Amino acid sequence: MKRKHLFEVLGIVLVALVIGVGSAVWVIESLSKVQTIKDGAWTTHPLVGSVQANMYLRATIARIALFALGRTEALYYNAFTDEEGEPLRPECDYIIEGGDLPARWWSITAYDKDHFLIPNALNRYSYNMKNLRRDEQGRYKIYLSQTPKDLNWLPSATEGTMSLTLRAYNPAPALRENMRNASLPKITKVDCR
Amino acid sequence: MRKWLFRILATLALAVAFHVLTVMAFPRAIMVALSWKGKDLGQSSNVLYHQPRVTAESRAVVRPSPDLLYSVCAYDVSKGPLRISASVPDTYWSLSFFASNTDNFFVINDLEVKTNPVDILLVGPGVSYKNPGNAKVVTSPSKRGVALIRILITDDNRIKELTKIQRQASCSPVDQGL
Repeated sequence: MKRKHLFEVLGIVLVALVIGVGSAVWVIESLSKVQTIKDGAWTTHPLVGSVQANMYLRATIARIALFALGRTEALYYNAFTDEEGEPLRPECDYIIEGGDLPARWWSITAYDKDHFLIPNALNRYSYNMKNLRRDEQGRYKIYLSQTPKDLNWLPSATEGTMSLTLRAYNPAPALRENMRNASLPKITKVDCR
Repeated sequence: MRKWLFRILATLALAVAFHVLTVMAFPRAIMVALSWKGKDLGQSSNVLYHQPRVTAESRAVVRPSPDLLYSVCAYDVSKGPLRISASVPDTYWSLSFFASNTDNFFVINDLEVKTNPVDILLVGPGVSYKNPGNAKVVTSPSKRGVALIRILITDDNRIKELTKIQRQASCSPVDQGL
């Protein structure tokens, strides 16, 4: 009889452990893709890097943006999809098109499915406000693709999914107080193989 | 019937507890895992390690910026304060501290520094200390954490020069003689 009770208790603990830990991992992973502020394909949260972050945001940041700074120092926007909300896929070509952001420095970096940089022969992982080739109006197009391009080519991943991070260091007050409408670059899918 | 209801409610209550504990422990677990990774690489606490520019092979921290040079010091101020000094280049530079739960509780950048080199005394929570010089005192909410210096690479041709400045920074325990 006692052994039966022991198995019952162990069963309850085991099921609770699976549900509790599994749901926690699922929530952290899901929140890393669905953050609070959405501007086109880009997502961010005003409390990234803040000591006021709740336990879910803190865990999410630890998962995808460990050691992120607060918004007076830097803004971080992540894009896991294109403008249509479709996941960024290596077999597709994308154009990232935009203009300058009101910040001291900004850059756009591509990441592999494991959140690390994408290996490529050129060691080209990002473009920034200084090394982008632009048109007469100062606007630019970055080509995220597996196929080399003549201008602003950002090599994409070979399999799985990928993502982008836009960093803006020392953002102007106009940007950090208006994170929802920051005139961020558009991510448009061109075609897929 | 009542017995089954009790089992279901007990399972749910325990599941909620495990869920909350997992979410709360997750950032600390990441920090502990990072310190283990550092120990595997022969790195010690209270020493500043200067990282070369990140590449696709870099696996220390997720989503690193290839436009930055990072220097990292995993600190432990339980036995006494730590002195961090660093030269500041003419590009974006910042020194930030992260508590054991990953909270960014302090940051200073190149536009805010009052002296060059920067001199900071990092002290533990509720610990008495003597400031040996004119260092700015920063109190960490936890005994352990991470200090991180970022230097922006504005031009690939400046990497050598910026690396030289990066390597002038240090992080070391202060003998208090209390």
